[in-house]
Amino acid sequence: MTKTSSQILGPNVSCDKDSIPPLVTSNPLDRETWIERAMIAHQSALISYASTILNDNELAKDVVQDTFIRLCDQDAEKIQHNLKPWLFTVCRNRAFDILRKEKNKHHLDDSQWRKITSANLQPDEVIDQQEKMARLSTYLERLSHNQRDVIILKFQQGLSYKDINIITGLTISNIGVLIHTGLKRLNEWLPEDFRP
Amino acid sequence: MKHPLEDSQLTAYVLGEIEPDKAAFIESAAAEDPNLRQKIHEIEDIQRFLKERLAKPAEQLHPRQYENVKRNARIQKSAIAKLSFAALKDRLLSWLIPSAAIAVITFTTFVLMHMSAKSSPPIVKPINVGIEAARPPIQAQAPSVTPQPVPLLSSFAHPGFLTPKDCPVIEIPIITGCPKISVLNKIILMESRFPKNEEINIEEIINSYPLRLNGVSSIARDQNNQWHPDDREKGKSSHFATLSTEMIACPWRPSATLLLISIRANTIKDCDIKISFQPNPENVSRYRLLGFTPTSGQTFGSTPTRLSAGAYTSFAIEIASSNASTNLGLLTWSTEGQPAPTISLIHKADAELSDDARFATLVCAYTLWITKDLLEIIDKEIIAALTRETSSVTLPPERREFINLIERSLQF
Repeated sequence: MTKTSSQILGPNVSCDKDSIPPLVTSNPLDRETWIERAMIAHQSALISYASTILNDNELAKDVVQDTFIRLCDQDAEKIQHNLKPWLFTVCRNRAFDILRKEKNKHHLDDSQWRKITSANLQPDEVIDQQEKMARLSTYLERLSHNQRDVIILKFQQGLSYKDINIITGLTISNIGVLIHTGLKRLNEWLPEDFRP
Repeated sequence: MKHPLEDSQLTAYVLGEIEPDKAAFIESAAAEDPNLRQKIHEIEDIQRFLKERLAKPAEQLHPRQYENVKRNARIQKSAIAKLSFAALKDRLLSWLIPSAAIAVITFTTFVLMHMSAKSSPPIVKPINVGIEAARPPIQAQAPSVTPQPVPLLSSFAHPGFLTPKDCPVIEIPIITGCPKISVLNKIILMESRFPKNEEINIEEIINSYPLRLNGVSSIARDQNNQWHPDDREKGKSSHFATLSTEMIACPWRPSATLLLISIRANTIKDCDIKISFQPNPENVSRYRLLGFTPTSGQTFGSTPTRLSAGAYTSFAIEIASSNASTNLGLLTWSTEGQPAPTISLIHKADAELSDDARFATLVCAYTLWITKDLLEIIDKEIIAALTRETSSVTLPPERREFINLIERSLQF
């Protein structure tokens, strides 16, 4: 059973998504609260992003946990103004690391089992979501790695070209071209019954 | 490309990634050029489509992961506190001066005492080193009761234990709603007594909590309208209902198995559901559906089958095995007259139990205990042990309230 944000959140911590007050003091207590706020504001987006890369919700949650633990080690004052791209960068690198390591480890049955049991949803919702995602994935996987990466960051996470530039290291103009050509290809490939 | 604008600029425009002057230029060009407008619409369509399809439900870290991060933040906090020179200096100053003063006074006193000729024996005063912390009594709070629609209970009932020989198939009644949970709350918390048998229905108490079981599930879909396209958010779905199961060793009769069943309807329309349990006659000696106990004057009636949109209902069947085999039978079911995938009931003793199954088992045991159904078998100790196993800080409030109810009952 998973707690909701309001249940988890301490009595003095409240947080609106995407509106984390900047860390203005070096008071450790403020810093702890700031990390908690960051976690509440960004955990959901990071989990969905990591699970899209890994196709495994539980593994995605581990990656996001590691990301926030890394955040605890950072100089918060330095990264607070670019917190979201920083979190996505660390999460992305960690997810790709795991993907590389785990690629040849899992038997198909294991990964399928984990997919079914991972999400916090009812079985029919899990299947429905997987079927939709699987169908789209067949087309996304035909794109180049960079095209797929920027399309997920843009359309799933709603990140700006600037943030994607920080996360991926690709230039802004390159990102624009990759998204445009990626969309064009998807438009050509998607069958009539799957089109918007 | 016929138009002087580059296609990638149009994409950037739709995505809001273009400077205002260029955006204004594209808008004025689009106003005059229907082809350009068409292209913009196409990009907008694919953008909307991808956003919808890539969207995932909001997930959160598990509480233990959340706590891990917070612990790291705290560890880091103390490390920072140690490293901060300014903080260190302030702290040093705050205690160094008084300590020095105390040291001087102590030294002076010591010297003066030794200088004096007389010495008196020290007076030892008893010191209270511990204060027994008074444990606050458990506050009986009436849980907030959400009004539930009263189900239309037909005049049907099931006898207690059945044998596969006498009853090779049993139809499971679909009844939703849990009006008796509020009655139970009132009796236990306000009147501080056990309910009389006629005051509560076991099936309604079991049915009061939606379950997400971890065993085999079966999903029924409209066979005339297969999945694609399934757009639940817009009210288009071929999903009829989902049947989930989980089996657990029966805590009050370890040789038996408790089969938990949860059925959840789709969120769009009511659904007609028929479920049958077929015990395996070779391996099952007897079984019973918990609840639905016959009362005076009741006879078997027509089994209710309607499950409202978005509703859920849960059942428990106690199955006594005649041998060590794990194949306990079948669950066959249909929705709107169409057969749904059958579930083979194989009890895997080493399967990891879900929290929901543990909780459902506690609910079953508790309701049987308070209704004195198995008076000689289920006692306070069993209930207390099950409650300890089930209690955790992560229990949702309504389940926490139920645990409070049990804790209160155990004091009677």
